[in-house]
Amino acid sequence: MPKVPDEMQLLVDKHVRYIQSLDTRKDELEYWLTEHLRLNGLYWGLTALHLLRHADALPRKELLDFVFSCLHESGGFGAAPGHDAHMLYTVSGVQLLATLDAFDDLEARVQGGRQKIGKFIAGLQDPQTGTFAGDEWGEQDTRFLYGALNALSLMGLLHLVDVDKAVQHVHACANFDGGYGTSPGAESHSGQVFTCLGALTIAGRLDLVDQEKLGAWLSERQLKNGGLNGRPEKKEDVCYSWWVMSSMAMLDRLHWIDGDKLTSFILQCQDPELGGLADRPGDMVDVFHTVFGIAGLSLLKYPGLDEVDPVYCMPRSVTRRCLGK
Amino acid sequence: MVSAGPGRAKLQLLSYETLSQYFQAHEDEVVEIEILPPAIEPLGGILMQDGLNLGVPKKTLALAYVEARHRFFEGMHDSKLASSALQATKVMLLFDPEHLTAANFRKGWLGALEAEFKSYNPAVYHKALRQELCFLNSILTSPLHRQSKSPTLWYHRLWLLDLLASVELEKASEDQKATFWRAELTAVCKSGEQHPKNYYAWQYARRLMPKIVSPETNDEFARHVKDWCCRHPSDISGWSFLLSLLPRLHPVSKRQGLVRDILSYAINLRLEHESLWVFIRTILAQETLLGGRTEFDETLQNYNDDLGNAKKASAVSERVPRTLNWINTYREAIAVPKN
Ligand SMILES: [Zn+2]
Repeated sequence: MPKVPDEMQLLVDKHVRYIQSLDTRKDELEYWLTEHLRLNGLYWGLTALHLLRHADALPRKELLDFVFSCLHESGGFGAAPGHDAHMLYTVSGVQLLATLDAFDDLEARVQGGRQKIGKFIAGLQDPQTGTFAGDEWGEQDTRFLYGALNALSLMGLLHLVDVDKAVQHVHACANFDGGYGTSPGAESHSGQVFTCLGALTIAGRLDLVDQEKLGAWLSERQLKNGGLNGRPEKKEDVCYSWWVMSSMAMLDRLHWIDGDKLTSFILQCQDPELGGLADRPGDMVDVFHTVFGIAGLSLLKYPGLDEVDPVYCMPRSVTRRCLGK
Repeated sequence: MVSAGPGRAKLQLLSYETLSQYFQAHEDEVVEIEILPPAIEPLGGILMQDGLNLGVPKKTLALAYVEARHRFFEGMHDSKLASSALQATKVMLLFDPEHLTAANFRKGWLGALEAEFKSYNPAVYHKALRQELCFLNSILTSPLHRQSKSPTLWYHRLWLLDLLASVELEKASEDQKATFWRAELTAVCKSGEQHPKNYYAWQYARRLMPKIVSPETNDEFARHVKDWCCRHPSDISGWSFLLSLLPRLHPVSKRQGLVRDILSYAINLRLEHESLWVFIRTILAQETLLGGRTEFDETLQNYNDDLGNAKKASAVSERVPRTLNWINTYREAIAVPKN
């Protein structure tokens, strides 16, 4: 086999060790700066480990203890103990429970726990427009709508909300340029495209999408260096390997992106010494870009990785178990 | 950072108190805050103050945050410590603008003030709302990279604005209303300069629009944003906001005038910015918005021909034919004759 430079291979062991080290870095600034993302961070780390085929690299019991310590009486999750509940944390909480196959653990600790979480989420739907707020303070965003359908479908509780109304709302977020935004008329953004397509896929309504036009908008996101950006004239960034590629996967148009060039861009974003991936080559790594880079590589069929579900950003084996398909 | 020790604890307290006192002293003013790189050390090691300009070394801010966080979680559920917790949230949000729990705590406090004071001592309540807006302006429009694009803080501002509008706009004259909205657009533009392509700042601007009823203010916004975009032609968020303003302009000739200006600007300066051309293709393909087929197609076609005749290929000479191609593919033709 020809010798490939290190940065052109996926440094699996280093990434595993990087993720394992995250919770031991309490003396670093970054740890405190990201406290509002603690639960999301666990979901990102655990998902990355599963895709890297090191599912057991984090201790299950400690993980679950932490997840349950973030659960409020209301059924919502906060980012960390003592933090307010919000949709974005609740989705991560549910995704963690699903990945750890822990819905029974939930019922054992909190009677009727699944229903409670489902009701928290359902209570955030706006009955007029079908969209969702993030919490009691009322901010609305397609990220929250997607999160609601994601978590409810994983728990088998979609019937708690008005899915048709939610679908209508997402449809109203389609822009003339082909993309989708946070609300009707809002700027198109690859991240928002992912949330809107994800919601429509869960609802089985991809027929509402102008797939050619959106696919063309997404394919314009690839830059000469192989990386993808989120919007016109933004810099390339590893996390868009996920938002754009998962959208392309849902549209069945992965081949509209040059996969070889993107693979090599993602691999260049690795920290060859300490592991982890950064937004672009040479920058500081973080767990967010680590999971989305690896998930992007999984969509690109990089060898040695588990299959990722483009709708949920979770191992396909997990979503198959939860959804029964 | 958390390696304990008496020296560090003292420094932590000092950092927090100095920063917190600065906020207290300037709670009626908009200040400009900058995080200093490690190479710049203020005399005395805490802050660099020059009137309304504040330089905070990253290390000071981090130390102050640890103290603020401690006071916040200690006081958030204890009414005796609530004011200390409230004060701490300012430092927390300066360090971590996505600290949802800290932002919510401030909302809860303002909500309680409303219930307590709105009817019998409205000045107290009103003053608190104005001070909150100063605080938000200071963080959202300072050269702080993460803070100026924070979805949490922009939503906090939108929430606050509804309270403020209900106090200030009910009996306001048209001029006062125009001034009120203009100040919001100014903050968005400034924040858009601190953080280019600032998605959440411009989304905030979009969410203001349904609250604005005056056609004059709509026109003023469109003019102002058009000029702003021409000064920042790579800013897709600005262009996208401008596009969303077009349907608010009446009659249709106003929209045509605006598009005509932008097209000649692009052509005269031979600009190739992708964002500008995305704006052009998106509006030209929507005949329904422009009141029917316009002369713009021909203008663009002629420009393309000129570029084709030029000997040297350039970025523009690729951009224009692709723009024409997109328009022809996705044109949404007007179904009824214009009248
Ligand atoms: Zn990124």
